[in-house]
Amino acid sequence: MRRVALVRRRDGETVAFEQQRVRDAVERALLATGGPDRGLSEHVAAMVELFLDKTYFDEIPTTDQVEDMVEKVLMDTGHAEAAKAFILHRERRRRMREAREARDARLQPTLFDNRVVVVDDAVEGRAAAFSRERLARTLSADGSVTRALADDVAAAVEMRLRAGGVARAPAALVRALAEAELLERSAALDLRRRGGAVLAPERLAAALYRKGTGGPAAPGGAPFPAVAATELGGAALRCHALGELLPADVARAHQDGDVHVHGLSLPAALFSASLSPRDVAEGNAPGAASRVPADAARSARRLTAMLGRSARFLGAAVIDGVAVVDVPDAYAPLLASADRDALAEEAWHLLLECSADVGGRRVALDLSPVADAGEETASAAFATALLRAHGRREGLPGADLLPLPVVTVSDRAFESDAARDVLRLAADAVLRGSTVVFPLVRGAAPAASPRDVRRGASARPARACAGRITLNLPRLARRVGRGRIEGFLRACDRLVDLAAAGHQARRELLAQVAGASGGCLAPLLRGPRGRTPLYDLADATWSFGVTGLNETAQLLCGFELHDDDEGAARLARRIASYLALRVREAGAAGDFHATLDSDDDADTAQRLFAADRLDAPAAMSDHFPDRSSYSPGVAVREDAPVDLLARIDHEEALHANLATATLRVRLAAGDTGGPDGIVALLRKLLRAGAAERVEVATW
Amino acid sequence: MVRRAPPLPPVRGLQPMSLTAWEGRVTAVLQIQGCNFHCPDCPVPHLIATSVEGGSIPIESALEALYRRRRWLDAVVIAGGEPTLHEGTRELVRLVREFGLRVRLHTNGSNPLALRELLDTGELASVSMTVRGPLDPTYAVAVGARVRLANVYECVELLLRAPGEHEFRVPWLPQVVEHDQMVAVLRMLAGARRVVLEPARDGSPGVRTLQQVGRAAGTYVESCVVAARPGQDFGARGRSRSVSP
Ligand code: SF4
Repeated sequence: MRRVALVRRRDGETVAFEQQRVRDAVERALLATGGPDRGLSEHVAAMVELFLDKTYFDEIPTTDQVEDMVEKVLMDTGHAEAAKAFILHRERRRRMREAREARDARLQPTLFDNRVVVVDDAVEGRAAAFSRERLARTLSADGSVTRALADDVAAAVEMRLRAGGVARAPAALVRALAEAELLERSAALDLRRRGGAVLAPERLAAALYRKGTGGPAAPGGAPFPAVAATELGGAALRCHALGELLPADVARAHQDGDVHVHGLSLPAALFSASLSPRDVAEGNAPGAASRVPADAARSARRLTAMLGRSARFLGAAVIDGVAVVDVPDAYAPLLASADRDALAEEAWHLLLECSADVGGRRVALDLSPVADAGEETASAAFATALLRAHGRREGLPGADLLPLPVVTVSDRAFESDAARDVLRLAADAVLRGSTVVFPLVRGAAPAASPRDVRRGASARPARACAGRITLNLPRLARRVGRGRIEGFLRACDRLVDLAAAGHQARRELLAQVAGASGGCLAPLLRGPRGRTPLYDLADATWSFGVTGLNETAQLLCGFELHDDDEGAARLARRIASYLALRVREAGAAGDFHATLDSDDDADTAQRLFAADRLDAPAAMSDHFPDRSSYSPGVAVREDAPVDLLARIDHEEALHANLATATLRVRLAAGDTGGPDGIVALLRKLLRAGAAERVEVATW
Repeated sequence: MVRRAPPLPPVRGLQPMSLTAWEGRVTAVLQIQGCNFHCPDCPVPHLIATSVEGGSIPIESALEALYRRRRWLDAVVIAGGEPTLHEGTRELVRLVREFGLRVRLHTNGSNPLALRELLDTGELASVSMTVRGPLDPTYAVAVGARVRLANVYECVELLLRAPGEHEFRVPWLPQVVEHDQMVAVLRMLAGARRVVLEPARDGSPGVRTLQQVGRAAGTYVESCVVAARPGQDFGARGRSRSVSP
């Protein structure tokens, strides 16, 4: 028997007949009158179909005719109630359809349409009627869009506003429409430059009454008001930085997740900086008394107070962190004659002063006892006192606010008993759950400068890193595809150029800040009253960060860094050395000190990973189905099935190409054999030349 | 007739990094199959059988792994089982020495002949001997096998005389060995460079008791520590020094 195959819809289109729809309609109708009955509705639907077959054997029924048939069958089979419900339903649908058609007809824009669309400008705080002329003028104002194109776009925007039936539109919508139209006409205009800082209401709400995690919270669960204010201010500044300060292509690359520009919420700040008590004593550091009386520096307590103030000040003015260097060294002459109790008290004060505020940056505190032979004991004694106070934590703020201890491991540290005791104490702190950073310094070099500070080849080593932009290597690798290594390196070129442009923009801004008459950074960068500046912008380093190298290797060659495959390791080394070269070139071309660094920040890796998931959900879930993030920096994946030595072996060759990279060592407390075990490991790493910095913590 | 070198001992396990096998050194541990004792609390019972039915690591790949990591290692610990049972141990020590790594040997002290031979080569930087009790009939209970006490004693004497960083590990089986007997053990080891007191595997008799023993008899030896409590030394030399802040 031939069956009804097609139905003609109301708009004239012919579509396949779907029995399921008839069945659903019947079931709905039956439902309106009593319980649903699958069997019955199927029976009725079959009957409808049967009658349709009989009636419309030589034509295509319309939707109306099908519905008529349903009605009729329901009536004839004795389901009058259901038929009535069905009729009512049809009627309601018809009325809605008519209303919609009527509105559409009214909205068809005509030449003589005189309805007014009001545009609300939230930034300027006023409303005005939409004017095609004014929009066109605005668009063509900076000359990058021709007037003809601007007119065209303005007309299109108006058309879309009217067609949408909008009576009142926010300015942001008008902007977005204009931008969309421009994009469609492939005009190279960046309208974001005109955008104000827009904070979404959810964002505000989240910052004010945050639920769940993130950020330090007051006891009630809501964040501290000051933290919320910082966060919101940061968000506004980020909008500003993206819209106004960065070149358009860099801003777009950041938003897309090709690169990550650090510190957008602090556009006019250094990335990281180091500070020495000597700076404070000389009155160069912020927060130090402007005129230091000659004997003030003699008083250790006074120095501590000023140092703490400077460190906090800097902590609020840098993006990543502050390192206080040369501590025991500077204090040694002051405390040479102090007894044990006095040392302990001084150490406690110093730790308290250098602790971070809630929501602030943590300070890294260099505790390495290095000094001339004469002062060595005093310096080691103070370092010991500091470590003991750090271990006791009595009367000090929580562990995540305390300064991060940094203890240099050098050959000298194994020569003298005092220095070795400091090392053992630091190892003991690790066993008690602190994280300690150990820079490894081979030979007789002086104490290492802190993290991110360029190792000084020049006469005056730079002590600040001014900005960092991290490159999203895994995305490039995924885009160019497996095995196309040359293509990948070419793609890296583009990212390096983008990052260099971003650095340039920031440098201009910082130069302006340095030249400004007010502001808090100016005195740091300019040097007050003829003194040498604390940080010289010309000497500062600009960091190109890399992250996710392990995943990059995996995407390019199919193996991860820890796999027993020479290819992956070789490839990673090649990428690192190529990038190092390119970064140096970019620095030379732009006349700034560029460094290639490992970006060990897990948040950055997480953000890039999330961006990549948005970018290509399918491909990402193929490659990284059960992983929550890229492994930060150039490290072997944290949970990789390799032992520590293999990890060191794999990472070491990469570290050689980077200006800073930290080997993260996680030990199970029971496996270390006490402080001696950790010291032995450090000593071996130093001798074997494994890394520049080791960060040791226990699980 | 050409005399062939004895076969290298069967390696059952390789621990690529240990910070505890030789305190203060980064080591890798080679575990050799086969032991002549049956200690009731043996931590590695799978190594006791002399056959290699459980499977062994090809000696070449174990050596290759060591060679590859030689830069990151200080030393290799050859542990057992009982490595002195195999004639090839000497050859193994020589090979590891060729990588530039120092060697520590673990022994239960049942084979003074082999131990003397190994010490005479001068290749061993350190021997760690496990002493499980006083030299009286309890010893046989503590090691679960018939044992010639003279052998154990000879090994102790050998190590006390030979140069090197030798140490004695003294595990305490509280059900078998009394408190006084532990003190007697330490007295027998008088003059040793280092003694490590170990609790039984279930943690008994507790670190406190071990520390008491250390305090009571530690002075007989140069350095006496309790395992898992580093930094506290009851020995004559280390009495005054301790790191705990
Ligand atoms: S001597 Fe060592 S390996 Fe042999 S049974 Fe005793 S504990 Fe186990």
